[in-house]
Amino acid sequence: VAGEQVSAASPFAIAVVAVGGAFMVAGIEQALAGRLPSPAAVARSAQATLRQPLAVPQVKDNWLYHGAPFLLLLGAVLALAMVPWAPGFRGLDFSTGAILYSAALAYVTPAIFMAGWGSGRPLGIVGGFRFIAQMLAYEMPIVMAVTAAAAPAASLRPVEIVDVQNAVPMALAQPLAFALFVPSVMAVCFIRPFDLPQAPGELGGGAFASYTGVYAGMVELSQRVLLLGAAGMTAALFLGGWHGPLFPEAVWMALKTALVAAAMLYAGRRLPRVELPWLLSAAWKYAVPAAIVAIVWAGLITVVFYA
Amino acid sequence: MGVAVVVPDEAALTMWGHDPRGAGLEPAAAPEDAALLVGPKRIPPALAAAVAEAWSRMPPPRLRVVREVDLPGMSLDEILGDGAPGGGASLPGAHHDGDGHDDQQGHHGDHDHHDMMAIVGDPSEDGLVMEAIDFELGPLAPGLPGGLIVELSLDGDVVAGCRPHPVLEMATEEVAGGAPPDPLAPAAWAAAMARALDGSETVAGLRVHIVNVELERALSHAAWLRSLARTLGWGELVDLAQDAVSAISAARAAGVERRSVLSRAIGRADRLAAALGGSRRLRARVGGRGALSRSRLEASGVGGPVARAAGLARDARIGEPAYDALGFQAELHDGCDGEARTILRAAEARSALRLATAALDQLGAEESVPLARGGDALVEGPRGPLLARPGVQEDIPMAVAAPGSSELAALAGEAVVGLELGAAIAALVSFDLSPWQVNR
Repeated sequence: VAGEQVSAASPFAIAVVAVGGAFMVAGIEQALAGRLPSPAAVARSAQATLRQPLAVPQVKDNWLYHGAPFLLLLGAVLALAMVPWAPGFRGLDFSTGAILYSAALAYVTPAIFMAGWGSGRPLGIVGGFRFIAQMLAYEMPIVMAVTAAAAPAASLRPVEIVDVQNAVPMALAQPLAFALFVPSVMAVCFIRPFDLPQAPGELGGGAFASYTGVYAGMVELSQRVLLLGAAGMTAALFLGGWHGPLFPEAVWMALKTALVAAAMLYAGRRLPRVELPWLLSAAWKYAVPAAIVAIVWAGLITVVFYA
Repeated sequence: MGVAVVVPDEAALTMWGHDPRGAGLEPAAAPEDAALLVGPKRIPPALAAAVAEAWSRMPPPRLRVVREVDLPGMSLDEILGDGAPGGGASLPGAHHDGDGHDDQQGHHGDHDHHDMMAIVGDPSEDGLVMEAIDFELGPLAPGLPGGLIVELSLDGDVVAGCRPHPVLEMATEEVAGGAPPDPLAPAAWAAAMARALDGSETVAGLRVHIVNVELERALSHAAWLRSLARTLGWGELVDLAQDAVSAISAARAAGVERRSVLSRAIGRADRLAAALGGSRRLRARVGGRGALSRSRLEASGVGGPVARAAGLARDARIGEPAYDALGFQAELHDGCDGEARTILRAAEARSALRLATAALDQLGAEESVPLARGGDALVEGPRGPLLARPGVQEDIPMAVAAPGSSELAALAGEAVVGLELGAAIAALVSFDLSPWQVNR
């Protein structure tokens, strides 16, 4: 890894973005449910959750249960840290940041499986197994779509991928990669319609059903941070990041991130939960081959327009 | 909006006039998410253990909200005591859901995956020998009607065996006293019993029964659609179904001055049916799931919406003079799967509201309709035919039955074998099985 830029303020900045962004996502959720967005209501709900006592399953493997929320939060925050928010405000600015984003998402898989297995409940375990299958199927389209988006910049540094979109957003230059990236990262965020590991109507909360108190709060926070990171990375890699007229750069990035997050959540309300066989079939039969086509297309436009 | 454990389930409370969602309560995915437990004043004994377990899993602070519903059983105070662990009475109902834990103050049960029984099974279709996971869902399981237990055997994540069976029942003496054997269809049972005992006294009385039965059918179907939408994780459909439920509930509660409220309910039901007709999203989730061959259904004694969705004209209303006078025509569909059953119920909810309106319009009409004179009475309830038979034995003044309901449960269990667990639960829900055992 060359050219790392990590300042002493980075962890603090990432924490502020994570908590502030989670509030924003919660506000969007309220608005989509037809309620007035209220940070105070979100804070009260979080406070009530944090005051609950911890539920501890008395099973042999309950260390997995304890470890899962921490691992999930770690993966979510690491993924968020790779998102470039403005030219002077980047969490962790690595030269391989775009791929490290995918790598950070990989922590979500063991975290969810640990939660399901550690709870010692059949439906929790089913939820954990579901997510392993889900992630195995969608990790590859994510990495390939990121690679396609990075090709014109000849760099995996998210800042440089944003810079190369000063004229044309990558979603227009590479619509196929964009179309693959968005549902794939939604699947990793396990939000509706990809909430298979939780599946409230089917698995009764699934992998995370047993969590209360601080752990439940960490799971909720992690999921919102994951969504924030996914929306931010979509804006950065495909929607021109902070490029835009009139407004300051950070405002553009925040607006695009909020819009992408809202679109993802809106899709979750409009669509029924997908079935696991359909999800896997779509990934292995269509998304992976399509991702290869997207990479070939990326190579062509790079040679013709960006070289 | 509060998150609540709803006993026995959201649809049942809606049928009893206490719609949780209308009161701003969202059913919890798991008791750990809930701050409220909402249920009837008295809980049927078969649910007592499950309710106590759900309560123990709810993190404090937690509240109970009691609704005035006339069910036989134990009071919540008897079941839960003062809310302290072990404070409740010794509980009947050994069943527990697949997540069953007898946890105490935030500690789940002292066992390691005990509620799964892992056995080495036969090779799967792909030739691999898999470990089967056997467990029970219910009687308070997410997605399923409260009071229904489903014994499942999973081969990986595919259902290898399924046996649903209801555990709730009213005592025979309650039936004699006039309480409905299946309290989810009180108006239909009231019509059947009144007809069996006394016959219909007047044409107006008969039409009042029709109004009540059809409103009950419409509400039952709309509440069922909301349950299906929740199972499928389909927020938009939950909202549409909720609009219909609220409007139909208002019409049911409005007394004789129902016409204006009914027209609003018809509008909501039309919107719901329009959203589902030809919906690719619906087809993607329940199309082809829980499929039964038409010949299998024909050979069975199953009636109700499941039979009509398959195109079988099995409806106790067909040929009834009072319904003929209202221009009744049975809704029929041409599929045998979850999609057909969903579309049919949405269409039936709409036509039931129109029938209720027509019956209201003719309340004061003079035209004569042949009246029943007692004896066996068959009434089409929301889930199928309900039979009331007076005086078969001296000590049993009324014999009651829901013909075909046991066969339907067995068929539903068969129809979901081979489906992935999520698809299987959605397919089971599509049968709208009653958790009440009626056959005596």
